[in-house]
This record gives sequence, C-alpha cells and structure tokens, in this order.
Amino acid sequence: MAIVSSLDGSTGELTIKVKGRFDFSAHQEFRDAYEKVDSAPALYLVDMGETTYLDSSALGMLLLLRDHAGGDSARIKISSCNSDVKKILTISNFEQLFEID
Amino acid sequence: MTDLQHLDLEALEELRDVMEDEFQSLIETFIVDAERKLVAFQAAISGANADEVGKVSHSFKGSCSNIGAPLLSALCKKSEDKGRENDLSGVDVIFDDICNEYQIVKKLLTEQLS
Amino acid sequence: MEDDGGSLKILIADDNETDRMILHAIVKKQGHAVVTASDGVEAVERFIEEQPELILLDALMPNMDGFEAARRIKELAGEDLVPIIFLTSLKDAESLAKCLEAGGDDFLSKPYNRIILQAKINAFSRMRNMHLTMQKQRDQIALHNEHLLHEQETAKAVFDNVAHSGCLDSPNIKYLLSPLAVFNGDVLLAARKPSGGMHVLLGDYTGHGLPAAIGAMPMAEIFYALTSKGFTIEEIIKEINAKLKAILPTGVFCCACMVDMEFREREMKVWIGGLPTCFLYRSGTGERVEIASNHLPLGVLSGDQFKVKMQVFEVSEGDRVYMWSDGIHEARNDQDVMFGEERLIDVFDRCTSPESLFDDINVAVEEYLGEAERDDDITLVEVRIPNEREIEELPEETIDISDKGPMDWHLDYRLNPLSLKYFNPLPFVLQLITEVPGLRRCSGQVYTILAELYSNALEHGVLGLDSELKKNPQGFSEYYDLRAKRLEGLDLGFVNFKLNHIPTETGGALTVLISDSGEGFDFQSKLDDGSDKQYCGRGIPLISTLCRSVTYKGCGNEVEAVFEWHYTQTGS
Repeated sequence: MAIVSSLDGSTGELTIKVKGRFDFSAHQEFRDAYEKVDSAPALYLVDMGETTYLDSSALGMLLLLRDHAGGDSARIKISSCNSDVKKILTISNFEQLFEID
Repeated sequence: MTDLQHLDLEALEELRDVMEDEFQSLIETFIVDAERKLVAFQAAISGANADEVGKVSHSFKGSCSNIGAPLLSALCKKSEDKGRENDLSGVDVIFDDICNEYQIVKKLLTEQLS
Repeated sequence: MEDDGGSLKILIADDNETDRMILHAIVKKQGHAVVTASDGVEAVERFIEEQPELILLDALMPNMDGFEAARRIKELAGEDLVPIIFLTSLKDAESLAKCLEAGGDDFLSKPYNRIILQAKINAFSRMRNMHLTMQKQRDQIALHNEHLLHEQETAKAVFDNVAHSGCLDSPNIKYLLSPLAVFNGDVLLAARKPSGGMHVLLGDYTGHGLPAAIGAMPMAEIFYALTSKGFTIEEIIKEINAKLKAILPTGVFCCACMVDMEFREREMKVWIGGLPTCFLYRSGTGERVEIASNHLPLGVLSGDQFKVKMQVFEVSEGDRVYMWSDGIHEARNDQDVMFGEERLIDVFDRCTSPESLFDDINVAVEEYLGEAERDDDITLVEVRIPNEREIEELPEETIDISDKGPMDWHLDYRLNPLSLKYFNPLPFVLQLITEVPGLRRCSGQVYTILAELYSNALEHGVLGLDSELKKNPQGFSEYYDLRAKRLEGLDLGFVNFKLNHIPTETGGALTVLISDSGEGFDFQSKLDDGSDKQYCGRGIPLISTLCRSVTYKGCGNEVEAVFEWHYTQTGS
C-alpha cells in the first residue's frame, strides 16, 4: 500500500500519507483515500514525508482533491515534503492553492 | 520375480470395465499380436540383432503390462536390457522363459473370455 | 464424464495394437473424439488431416519414431498449443530429456492408469483454453494498438496542420521535438507578430496519449489566430488559459512558457507557469539569466484568478532564450539517476561559443543517457534575437489578397478610461484597416505604426510615464509595474484615433491621427537631438522610416502619421 489515510474523529482532520513514488499508478488509491470517508473532514493533510517523487499527474490528483474539498474554500495542507518534491510544487506555484510546509 | 502374478486379475477387471464390448476383441488382438512379436523375437535372436531384440522386448513389455501380465512384462524387461546393453548372452534362456510364461498367460486370458 | 475443457479431439499414436485399443477405449469413455495412428509417419499425416487438440504419442515406433513425429507436429502447430504426452515407460533421465527436447509436454507410463490420464488430459485442456484466450486477447490488443496508432496518425496529421502553420522553421529558432511529441503532451508553437516580432509558446500537458494531446488543438488555434490579429501576449495567454480551464477536466493542465519578442525594440516578455526554469543567455557577456516559473500552469485557475504578469527583459542581438519541458531534467541514465538542472547549468558554464550551445545541450544529454533507454520525450527550444538583416529576411505571414473592399473611409474612435483599462483596441483597428484590399500585406508596418503611437499616447500621454525609466534594465520592470498601477487607478483621460484612407493610383494612403488627454511634450527638441533612440525613443525614428510623414501637433499630445502603400510593394 502506497497510500494510507486516517481520519481524526476529534479534530476532523483527514491525513493522507503518500509513500514512495506519487504518480499515476497511485491514482485510484489516492482518490479512495478522500472519497471513501464517512463524514466531511474539516481539514486535509497530505503527508509527503515518505514521498520520493512527484510527477505532473500527481499534481493533477492534488487539484482533484482540492476540487473535492471545496475548491477555493478547501483547507488542504501539504506537509513534510523533501527538497525534490518541494521544488516540483514550487515550479508549479502550487503554494498559491495549497498550504505547503 | 516369482512374487509377480501371471495375471493381475484386478487390472483385468478394470480393463473389462473400460473396454466393455471390445474386451474379447482386445484379448484376441493381444494374442495375435503377441505371437507375431514372438516370431520376430526369435528371428532377432537367430540374427544376433541386439537392437531388434531390445525393440521387440520393449514393445512386448508395454502391451504385457497393459494387459495385466506383470511377470511376462518383467521377463521382457530383462531381454530389453540385454538388447540395449548389446549383450545377447543368455537371451535364448530368457526367451524360453518368455515363451513358457506366455503360454500360461494365454491360457489364463482365454479362460477369462469364457 | 466430468471434464473441464469440453470434448477434445485426441490423436493416439502407438504401434502396439492392444495399447492403442486400451487408450482408445479410456479416452473415448472420457468423452473425447479419437484419431489413431500406428507409426510416426501416420501420426504426422493424421495431425495434418484432423488437427487434433492433444496427442498421445508412443516414443518408439517403426517408420518414424515419436521424437521426430513430435518435432514435426510442434513445427506444424506453430504458435498454437498442441500438448504432446509421450507414452513411455522409459525410466532413464536421458530418454526423458529426449522427449522434452522433441517438444513433449508430459509422460504417461504403462500400464495406463485411467485416473492419471484423465487428470493430465484435463490439465492440458485447461492450459490449452488459457492459451487460446491469451492468443485471442493478444490479437485483440494488437488490433487495438493498430487502431490506436492509426487514430494517432490521423490526429497528428490534423494537429500538424494547425500547429505547424507557424514559423518554427525561422533561422533564429532551433528546436528538438519528438515527432509524436504531441502525444507526450508537448506542444511547441511559434508565430510572427504583425509588428515583426515573434511569439513562441512551449506547452507540456499532464499525462500521455490523446488526453494529453487534446488541449493542444484549441491552444494552437488561439495562439495563431490572436497573434496574427495583433493581440498582445497577455491577451493571448489569458485567452488560452480561459479556454483550457473551460474544456479540460480538473487535474489535467498545461505547464507552459510563452515569450514575446520585440526584435527591433530589443525587448522580451516571458510568461512561465509550471515549466522548469528557462534560461536567457546573453551572448555578449556569457551571463545566464534564470527565468523561473512564477505562475500556476495554464488551465488551473479561472479567468478572474488567472495572473498574466510578465517577466520583462531587455535583450540584445544574439541573445538566446532556452525553454524546455521536464524531459531533459528527468532523463535517466542506466543508474536511474536524472540529468537534473545542475548538469544543464554546467553545460552553460562550460560554453565557449553561443552558436553551439543548443548542440552542446543535446550532446550532454545524449552522453549522459549512454546505453540507457530513451523515453523520446525531450523537448528543447532555443530562440535567438536576430540581427537587423535577418529580421528583414524572416519569412512573412502568408496573406490572401482580395480585390474588393473599402478603399475610401474615415473613422473617429475614442477610448475612454474603462476601455483603456480593459481593452486593447489594436487588433480591432488593425482588422478594420486590413479590410482595405492589398493593404493586408502591409499589416506588419501598419501594426507597428499603430502600436507605437498608441502606446506612446497611453503610456506617456494618458498615464504620464517617463520614458527615461526604460533607459536602464532595472527600470524596465519598474516601468511596467508603474504602468499597471496607474492604469488600474485611471478614471480620467482618453486616446482618440482618427483614421482616414484614400485610394491612390498605385495603392492607397492611410492617415492615422492619434490624440490623447495628456500634457504633451516638447517634441521639437526631442526630434532634434535624437538622444533617446536606444531604449524608448517613442519608436519615432522607426515609424518615420515607414511613413511618408510623422508630424506632432498641438502641445505634443497629437501626432499624425501618413502611410502610403502600393500594390507592387513586397511588404518590408
């Protein structure tokens, strides 16, 4: 399993942890991680601590998550990116759409 | 070797079951075929043709085992080995044993038909 | 009788008549059809005639033994799976190996055991069915693939017709683009602007195949149509973004870099979103300027959130700008390590001749890849600022000349603050003017005249910007920031166009009178000393060479240019 997700019942925070390469092969799993949640999370946390690589289809998946989470009103945090992953997010100026740290 | 049966009746029952109406025809065919093979066997020995001795023995061994004559099949194995090893010494003795055993098997098989 | 694979046709080849009879009976009882042969030659013949699906083959037979028969049958069967079970009581490994070598799939020893035989037949029947399914699916895949390739070829042909109507073959452009790049999601477009400059756009769509190619079509159409009509880079990039946002599903977008080059003005504007940092290489000094992505990719933000802010650079003849998709950066060697930006920078640092830089990059990537597999999705483009002579020789847009249309007319057109803020009148005005039959081929000059005079009127007149600012490179961006700010806050002012066209013996004469609400300027002394030619110059010296006359009037807030054209003139 490349993607593990968990919903914190008290804070309403859904954590999606992406391990290894984040590319098209993770498509369905990533989608399931936020679609198969019973209650709507208040905050989404995409944990990239163990993500080694990110490609443009992964960027597309993040945009899909953003749409799902309410578009402009979505609260999504992308955390613990390594420098390569962060660089890709920066080139695409995704910090305009997501909270990245 | 003497432990081996002349005729494996259990195997024969199974054959009867499989062959149904053709059982009699099978036994008759075996007998005709066996006698043809024994003639060829004899000729191979006379001609000191070890290769041919091996082949005939191998072929006869197979049909004997299928028809349920384990002792006869085992005798054929002995002559087959001889033929393969290109050593025909004592093959005439084995051949005699085969002929004798065949006569017993033939008698028993014929009894099965009546 | 129970079975898994239905009834099969089975060939039994054995020289022992009794063995044959027994096998025949067993197999028939299990519900299969039987064909028999009593030697190898006959076995091969029966196989050809009857096409049995499974073969029970005795090893030692007269005429042709089982080994040879097996070899021939396997050869005849080709890619079809025809299992061969050797009927043998051979016990030694060498003989068994001989059976396998000849193509045997299994063995059955005498005396025959019904249960074992049935199990073997069923197992091979299942295997055979699987093989048939696999063959069928493989053929289907091959067929699908053929269809797909055909579709891609057709799509590519259509795309090429749209996308390659531009000027990628200009002598100042070098590029590397896989022939099927559009299906890797890479798009490269280039077009001459009516003013003589050039627009170049490199796009990299998410994904592969048709989904990645689909956005390229409207993108190319908008790019070429709007460029030839004189729209600005800001308007074009905005229009493309709006279109892509409207048609592409969420998650599919286009990383892009678009450059607008004004060759004569030595100015370059860059919009970049999502592509790796581009380089501007200054041939004179060897300086490498990094142009980093400062926007989201195209097709992500809706129109009201989309930002068109440009990075503006002053450039010189021979300067080169390099754009690339991430194919170069992500090219992997046989150790699976990416080429990366560092190595790219290294190529520039080691550069001794700007002329060879493009090739140096290719060689460096090729050498790096070595024996590693190529993805074939490296897209790279170099655009050079041409010298004066080259500019003259660059290919013109091809234009139809119709012979009927408005020849004598007058237009008075005033743009008030709201229009000045949000509307670029040049494409509209240019289109109107180029309705005059034969004048279209001069649209480049006409556009230059209109564009220069209009931006003077707007920037220096209405907005009161000082052209002195543009005299140094740092001032460039300050100038454009100030321009945007003042335009935003504009609530008074106007620019007025008075256009008049009359036919002449050999063509026509177009009079352009532009006035603005500004304070004007001391045009007499500016024209005399000619001091500010280089950076701004209000483009007047250039316009003067194009027009019969250029005259400032009033307090300098009114300028009249008369442009004469002839049917026979070639256009430049």
